[in-house]
Amino acid sequence: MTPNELLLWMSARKQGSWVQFRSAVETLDLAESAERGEEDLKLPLHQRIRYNLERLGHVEFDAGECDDGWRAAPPMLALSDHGGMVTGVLCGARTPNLVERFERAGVGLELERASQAECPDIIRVRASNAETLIELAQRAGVPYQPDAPTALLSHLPRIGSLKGLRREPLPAGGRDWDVKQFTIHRKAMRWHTITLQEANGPGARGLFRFTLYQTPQYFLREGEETVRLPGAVGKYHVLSGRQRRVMRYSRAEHRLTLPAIFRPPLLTERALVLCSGFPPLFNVVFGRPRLTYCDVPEEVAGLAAEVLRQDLL
Amino acid sequence: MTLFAIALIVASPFVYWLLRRRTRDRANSQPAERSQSPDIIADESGTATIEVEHGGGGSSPGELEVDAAEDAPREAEIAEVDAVAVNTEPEIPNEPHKATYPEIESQVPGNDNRECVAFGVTVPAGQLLSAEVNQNTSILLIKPTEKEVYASAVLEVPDLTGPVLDEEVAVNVVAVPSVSDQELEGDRPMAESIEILAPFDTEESRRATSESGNAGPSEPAERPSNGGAEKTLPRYRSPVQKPPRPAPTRPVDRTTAHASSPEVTLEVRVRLTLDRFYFCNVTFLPGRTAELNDDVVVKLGTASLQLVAQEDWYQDLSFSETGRYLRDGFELKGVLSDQRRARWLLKGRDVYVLAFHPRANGFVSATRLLLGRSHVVLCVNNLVGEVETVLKEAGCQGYSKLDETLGLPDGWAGFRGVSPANAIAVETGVSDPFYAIKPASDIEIEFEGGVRLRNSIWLAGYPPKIKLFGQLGAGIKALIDGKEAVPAEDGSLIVDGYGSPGSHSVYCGGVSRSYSVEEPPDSWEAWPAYQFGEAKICGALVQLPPEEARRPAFTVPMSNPLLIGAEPGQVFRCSARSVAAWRGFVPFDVVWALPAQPLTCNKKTARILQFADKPLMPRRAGTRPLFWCIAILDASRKGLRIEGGSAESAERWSEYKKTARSIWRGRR
Repeated sequence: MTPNELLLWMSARKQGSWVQFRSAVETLDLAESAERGEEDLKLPLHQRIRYNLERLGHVEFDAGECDDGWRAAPPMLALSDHGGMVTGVLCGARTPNLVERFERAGVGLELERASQAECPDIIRVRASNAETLIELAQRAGVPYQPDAPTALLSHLPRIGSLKGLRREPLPAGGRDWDVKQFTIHRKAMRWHTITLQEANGPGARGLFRFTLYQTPQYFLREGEETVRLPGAVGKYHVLSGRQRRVMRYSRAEHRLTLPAIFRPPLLTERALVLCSGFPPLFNVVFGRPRLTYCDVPEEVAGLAAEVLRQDLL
Repeated sequence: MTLFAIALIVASPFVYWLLRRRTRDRANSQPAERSQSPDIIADESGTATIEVEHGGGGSSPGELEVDAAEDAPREAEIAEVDAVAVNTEPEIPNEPHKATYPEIESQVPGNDNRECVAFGVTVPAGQLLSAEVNQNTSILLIKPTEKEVYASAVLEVPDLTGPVLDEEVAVNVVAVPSVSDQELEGDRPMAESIEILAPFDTEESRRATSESGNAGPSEPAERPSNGGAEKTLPRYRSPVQKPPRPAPTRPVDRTTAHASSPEVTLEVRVRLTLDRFYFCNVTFLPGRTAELNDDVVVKLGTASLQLVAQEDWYQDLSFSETGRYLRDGFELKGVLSDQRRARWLLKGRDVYVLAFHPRANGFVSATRLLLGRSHVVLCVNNLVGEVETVLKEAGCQGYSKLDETLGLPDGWAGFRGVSPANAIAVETGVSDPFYAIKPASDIEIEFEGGVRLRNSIWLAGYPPKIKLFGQLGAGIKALIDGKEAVPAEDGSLIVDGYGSPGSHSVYCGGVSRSYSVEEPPDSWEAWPAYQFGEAKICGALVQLPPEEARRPAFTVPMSNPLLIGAEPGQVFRCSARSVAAWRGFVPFDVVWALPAQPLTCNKKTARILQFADKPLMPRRAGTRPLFWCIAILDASRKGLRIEGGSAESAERWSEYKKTARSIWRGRR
């Protein structure tokens, strides 16, 4: 099975358990996908595939109404305005018929189908205005989301507020915990190993990662409060507190670059990915792994930075 | 004294015969339902006795007594009965290294060779197919109470009063379905019903062992001081070829058998994946059945591991000492959430055959080479020559060699692209060390590839490739849906419509399999996977209330972030961003965009931007137009010009200014 077939499988099944997904990934034929970055390869294959499916808006994992499992999102043409050019990315569930219908409807337009390692083919179409793509979507019977990146980012909560996060104490016992604290020292930002006792010490503050059997949990201690939160949110929270900027935007190339350790939270990243339809490029510059999101309009980059409480460099 | 000795010698056969006859008579007089199972009793001294009683019916009772004292070593606890050998001379292989997979299934941790425990069996009568008996016979040890006196003569029951043994007895006393008298009817050799045929790693035996094959005596292995990792595990032994046996006639209640199992034993398979440079990665796949936990913490020796579930396996395990584990095997032990103990076992081998598996990528360990199928064969370095000889005999051509430089573990070599063309007969009655690489002529139908939705259902447009393996005799045809199949370019079989939605069947040489093809759905519902305020997010879709949904995103230069609408009170300040333009959703139609601080901005460069020529709207009750008024009046006081302003723009701005002033004055 290829990643394309995996998406067909998930679309046909509509939803399933994590175990079923893991099992399906086992049958993936990924002999050609050896071009991943070192950082990405630290994740197991099923996680890499899962994140790609999530980022591209094909499937939701462990979200509302699919706890401990996954559910295929409805097909959607995600439009993105690039100032004079509009891009539409086909997201969500797919069937052979749907893809064929879409490609037939897109004849005469700049329609592109690109293979990508460890994720389904990127199907995107470009036109000079949104109306053309909306007509295409209607012909193909696919719903559309205008200005998808902006729509997503505009409705996400900003980093910084701990409101709505779960108050939960740090794990205080257990032998097998691998405990790390996120530290920022000058230009170095890394996970630093500490003991369980140190993490639970009265003066311990900051972002902590407790890992048990390869499953990490993140906790943020601020003042007397300890909250459990997604790791990416925690990192940007710490960056915001330290007023550190990590997002660099190239206006000439429309590229947003950031250190790989600061991969944005899922929905923020989804918005950035939907600008081009492609997952971020991974590269290492001066020994530092970086993620680069392409074709990101400046306004969207600014909005993403605002969500993450960052200023663009 | 000498005379007494001579008399004793002369009389002993007669006394023995007399005792046996009395015992037999007494046994025959027992009610039928109390003696429906074969007894296999092995004592510490190595004496093994197999006794089968036939209840009721008028058929002649079958009885078999075997004294295996000379053959069995002192550690004997497991009695393995060979189908052929039992007729004449039952084989009792008690040496750990000769144990078969079913024996390992029957191992119960916690026993050592000094603790020979009676194995009581709760027997729901008539619940075992002979096929199942075949796979479990080596673990059937039954000691009915009626035989206690007799049994005590041959079985040394240890002291069960000790605190430790209580637990061990509990472990060993397991339910094994009985074999009915009908199944053991004496018109055929008893051994046929209790023979061991299937190797552990066949589908059938795997199912059986995971469901019911957990009972049995302990393996005579030394108790390790540090858990299972250092324990000398019995090695794999090739199954012994047997003559064909009649088909089973009785259904099995596997559920009962399973429910009564206090321990789950599953196999570990070996998996090999090749990257595009044919570099190998060897891992281990612990088996899984649906009822097992998604996550299980297991011990490998003293180390803890977590098994994370997939459907048919747990996540594959990778070790630094892969070579040693392949050769010697290993055992994982854990406890399930229902408190049953679970163990996963890989029996060490010198030769592995790995083949395509529908539920895993790469190559997964298989029982044996299959004619026409491509395999990977792994073997220890010192068997390379012999393995190659057998492969050549099997007609394998064009295979490539693998070694440590291509990622194989230390001490191991391999062959990729092994596709046998000739069947090799395996000598019956002996365990052939090269059994795995001697292909049989059996025909097998396999479904490969496609998009399998579940079980035997494939997605329309992605049907399976139908492959036929084995030796096809002259005149044997493959049929798909009753029509003669033709080979496609890739060697798979096709007929018109074999991939169309509906049920399909494949038949060849007495073997048949079926599959279905199903159309995918064509509609999916959006649901609130994430919700922030009134916005519901699902994939790329952002669902908003209708009044918000119709409003497009708005872009404005960051120089003019103060947005003014047509209705007094409609004012919006864009958030500060380090970009040239701000883009987002504004809750009203923007008419004017003003500098952030109209009163203090640079008059020479700052401008008013007009986005719509929209007349003023009446003020709604309850709105607070103060900031709306201040923004307009500040811009007016500063004398800011309208960008690209026309007469109409100026007139419109004047209208807004007057209204703002009016409201402001009214408020005072």
